Amino acid sequence: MGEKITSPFARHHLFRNPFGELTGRERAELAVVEVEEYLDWLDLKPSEEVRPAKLALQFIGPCGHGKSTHLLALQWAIARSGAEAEMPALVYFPEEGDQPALPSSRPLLIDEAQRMGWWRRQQLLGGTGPVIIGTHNDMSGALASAGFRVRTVDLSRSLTAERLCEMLNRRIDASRMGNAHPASSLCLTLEQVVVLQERFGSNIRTIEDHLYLHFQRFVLRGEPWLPVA
Amino acid sequence: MAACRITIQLNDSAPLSGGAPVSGVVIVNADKDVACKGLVVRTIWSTHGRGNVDTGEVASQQLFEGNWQSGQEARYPFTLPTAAWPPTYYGNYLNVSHYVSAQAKLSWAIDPKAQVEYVVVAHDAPDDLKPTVAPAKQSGFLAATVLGLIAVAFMVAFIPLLLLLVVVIGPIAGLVYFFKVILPKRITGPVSCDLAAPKVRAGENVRAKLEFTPARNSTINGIEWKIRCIEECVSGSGSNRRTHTSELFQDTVSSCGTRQLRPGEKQSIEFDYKLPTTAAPSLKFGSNLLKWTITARIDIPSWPDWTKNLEPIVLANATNSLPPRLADDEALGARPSSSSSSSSGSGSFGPGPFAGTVPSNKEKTVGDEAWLSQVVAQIREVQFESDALATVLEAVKDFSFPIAVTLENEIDTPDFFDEEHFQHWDDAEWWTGYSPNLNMDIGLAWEDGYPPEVESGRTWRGQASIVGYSAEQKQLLMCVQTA
Repeated sequence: MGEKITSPFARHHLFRNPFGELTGRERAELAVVEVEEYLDWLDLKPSEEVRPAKLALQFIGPCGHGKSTHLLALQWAIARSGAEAEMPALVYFPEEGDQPALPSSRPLLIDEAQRMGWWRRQQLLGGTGPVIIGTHNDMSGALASAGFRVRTVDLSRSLTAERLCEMLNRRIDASRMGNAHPASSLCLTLEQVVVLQERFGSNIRTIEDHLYLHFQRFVLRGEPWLPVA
Repeated sequence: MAACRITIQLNDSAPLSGGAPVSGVVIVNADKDVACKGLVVRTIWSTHGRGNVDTGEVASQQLFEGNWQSGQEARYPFTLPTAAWPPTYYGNYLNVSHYVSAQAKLSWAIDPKAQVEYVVVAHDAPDDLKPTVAPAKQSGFLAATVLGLIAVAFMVAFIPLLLLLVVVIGPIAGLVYFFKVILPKRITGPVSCDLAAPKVRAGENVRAKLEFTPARNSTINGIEWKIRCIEECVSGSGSNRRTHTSELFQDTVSSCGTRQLRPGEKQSIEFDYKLPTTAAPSLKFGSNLLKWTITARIDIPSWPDWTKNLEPIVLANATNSLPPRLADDEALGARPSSSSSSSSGSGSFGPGPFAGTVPSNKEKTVGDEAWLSQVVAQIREVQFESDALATVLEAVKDFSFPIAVTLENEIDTPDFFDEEHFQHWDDAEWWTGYSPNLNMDIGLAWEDGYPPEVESGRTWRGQASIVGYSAEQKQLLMCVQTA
């Protein structure tokens, strides 16, 4: 049987499952993050009682709620803004093993900041800003005591259905085959996203996992595209 | 408005193999006056799916540097080598694609880019399954060397800790070794178990031999071989690291039942198993792999079993130049494992390519779209039960339904399971297509020749009756009803 070769995604004008794993750069580019607002805040002139540039932006929330994605998006946005000569450092603290060193360059981004040991914490609090941290635990008290002006974004509460819908449809759009092909008719409606949130809450990673499997069944088994429970 | 738009056209869409070059043209349409610091085209391969992206650049070429005027269309032909390995693959958790990618670095504007996919087939594989063109970055090598030195320094500095770990972990590892290796050998004696050939092609037989000479009188319950294919993909890193496993194929074959063993009497058991023709190729990347394993087990009553894993490298089918299209994991992996006394196994894909039917001479009763959807849903439900599927096809053979199909290609007669069905439909002219409403591949037959308006890319609308279905290919066969 002579069959033309096409990927299972091609008939939907996509080159991949939109909900698969992304590179760090893609994740940053597709993130729905108010980078401009955060960059403006980080450049804000401090008031007289605060040491210059001692600003701390912290994203708090459990696993899978987008802390790392926010940090990646801001890292790339800072690099693109041209305000810094090179990519700002993003330090990840593992669950076990040696604690990485904190560079002296600023701005500094820290992922899983709640895992910092005592000495690293002292280095952070004794240093300058701006710092941008992702953490499971609220560190605003310690940061404020050390003279930082702190802004806290609670990601477990800030994910609206509209934001999630935009995020997921960006994933689909980023998986299009290209300008020469029509846009995929596949999309998620706000109604469908509301149902997803009712089931999975704000855990974006779990929602992406669910959608990945659902999309595979859609292209491989011909099941209807209806990513709801 | 973007400063410019890029599209890529390939000269040929045929699959490539052995590193054959890909050629085409990069087309730039400038919407504004823009300075281009470099228009670069690349050939790359990349995994996509549930695992972290593994990717490699094969070759690159700068096509242009200079200025484009608003309204200008510029065309830049290119020819670049492609990778001989890995092959294009579409699976469940793992996919491998090859692309031509073009990007223009612009001053004071977002860099436009485009990519187009091409298919690579590979009829052989490197012994280590590593991509033939890997990202050979010097920094990677340097980093590896530095990390190695750090590891050595770490070990020297923490020798006491290492000794403690050896004291704690060593006995645990020893216990495992004792139960899995030492104890079984007390019954079987030393066992040799090896593949006849390290590489085997899809559709051909994989062979292995297990030999041992018992040292004592004993009994075994039997010897079985479990052949399995999985995709294994790692996502995230650190504490967010997760491993996703999709079982694509699984079958268990029994080579022998209960057997008395006598000391000094050599036992030789052969395994001979025909792989499916669409068996997925073995693949190995940093975060993703596709692995075939054959687990040999000597079932020893009231005693730890002897087991060994063999890992054949499976190659794509040489006579099929198309990349294997795997059915989903439920179609393959969820089937109950079969056990037979035959050493060749029975891991077939079920009732054959197409279950079919031959229509009667009765005038067709006209159904509607809603009913067709219900029929298709019923077919999906019973697709792996050959008798039930045949019943459904027989029940609807005298009905016609309205359908719209986006046509793709003219094809040979589908391969029906029943020879009578094949003979009946062999005179018809067949096209493949896709029904968006049913979300299903369609094979469409014209018994008296297809009309001139039937061509690739067009949408055909009309009445058709259902004449067959393939669970393996997820394709519904229909025959056009002319007025």
